Amino acid sequence: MGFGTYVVKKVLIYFSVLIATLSILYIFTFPVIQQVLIKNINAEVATFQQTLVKYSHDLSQSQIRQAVDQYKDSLIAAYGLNQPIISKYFIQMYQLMTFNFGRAYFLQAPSGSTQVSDIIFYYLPNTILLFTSSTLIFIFVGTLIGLLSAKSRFWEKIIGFIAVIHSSLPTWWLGFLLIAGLAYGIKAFPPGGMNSIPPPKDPFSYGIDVLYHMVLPMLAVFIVNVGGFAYIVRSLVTSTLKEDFVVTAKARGIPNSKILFKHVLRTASPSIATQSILAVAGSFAGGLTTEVVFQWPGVGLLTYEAIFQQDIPVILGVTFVLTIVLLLGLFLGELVYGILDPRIKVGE
Amino acid sequence: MSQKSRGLSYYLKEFLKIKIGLAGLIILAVLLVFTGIALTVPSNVYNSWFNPAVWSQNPPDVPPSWLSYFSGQYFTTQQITSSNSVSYAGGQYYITELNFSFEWSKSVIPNDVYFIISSNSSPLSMSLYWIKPDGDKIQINVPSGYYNVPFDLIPIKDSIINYISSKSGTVPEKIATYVLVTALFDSAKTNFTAVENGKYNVVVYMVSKSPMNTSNSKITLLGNSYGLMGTDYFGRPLDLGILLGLPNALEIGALTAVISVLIGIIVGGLSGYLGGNKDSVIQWVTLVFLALPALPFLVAVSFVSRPSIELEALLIAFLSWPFYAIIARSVALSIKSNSYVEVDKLLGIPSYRVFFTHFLPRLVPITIAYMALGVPAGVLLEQTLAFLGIAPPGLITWGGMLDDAYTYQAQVNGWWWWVIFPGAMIVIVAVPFVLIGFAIERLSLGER
Repeated sequence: MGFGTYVVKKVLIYFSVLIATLSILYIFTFPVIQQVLIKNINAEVATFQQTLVKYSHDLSQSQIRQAVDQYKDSLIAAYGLNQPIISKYFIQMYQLMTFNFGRAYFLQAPSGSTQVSDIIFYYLPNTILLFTSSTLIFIFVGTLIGLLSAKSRFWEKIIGFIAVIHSSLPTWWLGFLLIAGLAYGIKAFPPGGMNSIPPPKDPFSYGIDVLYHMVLPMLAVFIVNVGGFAYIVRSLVTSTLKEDFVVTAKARGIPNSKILFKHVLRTASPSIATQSILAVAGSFAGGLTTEVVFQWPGVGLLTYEAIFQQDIPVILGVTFVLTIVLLLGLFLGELVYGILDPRIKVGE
Repeated sequence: MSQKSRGLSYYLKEFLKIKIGLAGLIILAVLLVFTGIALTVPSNVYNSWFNPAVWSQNPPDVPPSWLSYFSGQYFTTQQITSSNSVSYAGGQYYITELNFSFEWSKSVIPNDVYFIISSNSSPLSMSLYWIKPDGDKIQINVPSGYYNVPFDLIPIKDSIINYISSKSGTVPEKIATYVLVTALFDSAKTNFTAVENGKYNVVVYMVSKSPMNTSNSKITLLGNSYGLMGTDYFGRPLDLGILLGLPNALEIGALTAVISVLIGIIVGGLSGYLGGNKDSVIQWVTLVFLALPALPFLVAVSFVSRPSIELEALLIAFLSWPFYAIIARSVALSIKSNSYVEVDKLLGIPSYRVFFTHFLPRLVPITIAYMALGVPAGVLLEQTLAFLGIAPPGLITWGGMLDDAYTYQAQVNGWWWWVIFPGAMIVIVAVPFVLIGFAIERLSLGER
């Protein structure tokens, strides 16, 4: 099996997984999706009727009603509401996979659009910016600690301790404490948001300003997650250490640190890379509440607003988008593994 | 690993040797004791948590009362009952006199004063005298309708403002509870800037047509600290909320862990044991569930269906079993490569017997370890959902308390007790399970 076949196989698998995952979500939210669609159709029909009354003075009342009814029927058919459940499923799944989540009830994007996908794609980059950068930092430090723990008792003890933190400390609560202590207590960092008000004009100081606002949330994400990642790396490294080539290298008298950073790291790197991509993809979905605490204008804060205002289309839309993002991450992880792992690359 | 028998008692003995596991067990035992206490709290107390009116006589937003040991500035709420009530008949009327007295030695004033004048029949008139240590006497007219209902200083503010203007010649610009309490406790001679310490007397006269029973009357001086953990915006004692939030946290953690680990171990174990095409199919199913992002999925589904706590546990378990399935599969694969499994196969022993004799027993320790490690995951997810405002209805959760703290800007206002205690409880519930899980994991997989 060559690398090309590997990719094709993975694409097929992940596409089927995508359909299956979205179907599960669809089944769980089926009645609500129907409600949302009916509400959206009614709203569209109302705007259609208004424009018709406004611009077509030569139409009689009954003609207008007929046109409106026709329009409504066409919409119902387009969303598959009058179809048997099987075709309904296919029509609506197609809508979901093309990011057509309908209109939000109350929320809107800064551009004024009420399309759920526009709203989400306005906020998603902010989420990606914050969590990709903070995840990369804890991945780097976590890998380092994981490697060090393989040769030092001290770091192994540290790993045990920070791994406990990882499994028991909610990031958003730590965020609370950091804000109370570092933002309101000693006033070293801004308590939340993404920019100062008003934001600086020139791009350089704008970037610095955003970075400054990112420090506290990054710190929270780092403290909570570095232990978990170090733990994963440690177990990857320890299993590699038992391999024959490490024993051989030791027997040849190669210094420990060289074995660790050259042989072991190189062998474990495909797995570490896969875990890293997984961590990044997972962090977008897991960081919803962290964004709320830090008032970071990403999809998490958007979800909180949507829950507060009972804006169901937005909540559903965010869930679907984050599912697709996570799946994309899983897929990328497999690809990177395939590229880095020589056994797959040469087609073994 | 040695080949000696590995019965339950062996594991128990070895487990108790591991210090972190023992520490985890002790914390867990303490938590279970408190859970028992929480379960004895009657349901009307539990439900009153969601009714802010019940807590109106508690001081809102005050820190824990143990701060008074460190600083004389803090004191707790005091209740003063009447020392004596005298009733005398004059013609066809009865006059009832109620005497309250208390010592005030703090250099700060109470947050508010609540009066409750309770009687079995409504009096024809009622007058109240507030007598300060230096003899200043404030006459307070209580508007009708305040018998048997608690009232603070706002309904009687006119009398107090009259007193202030008669002493200082000016009317305060802003009339807040704080100003009114100042008038009652600060010395008029210093123009209401210094607290008068000493004995305060409050006398209430009531005129009625029949003799009165006033045994439930009392004055409450609202403190600037309360209970073990302070109070929130509504005056609810946080220690009560934290106690009542404990059972559901443990319940959801235990339920999700048991369900998800059992599903995960069985699915993953079978997958690794069967191998081949069946393995690929099971792995595909695992991947499907792994690709569902837990938090957004839970947000969407519990927002639209508002599940009960048991259903919420099922939902969380539904999303978290793949992690255990992956681990169980790899363990099963390593068991499968052992020679004794191959020998059994060659001997023609039926595969289900091989599964029960070789696989399940070896999967038990990791099952228990991950059940313990799975508890915090369930607890954290539940509290995170509650923080987002979608807890099961009618349930007191620490996440919900923190959501309130966030809504009322506790971190901005410096109400640290409202942020620290509920969050710390989430950690305290999670930690013993992590410790126990790590201990069992170390025991069953062996130290490297």
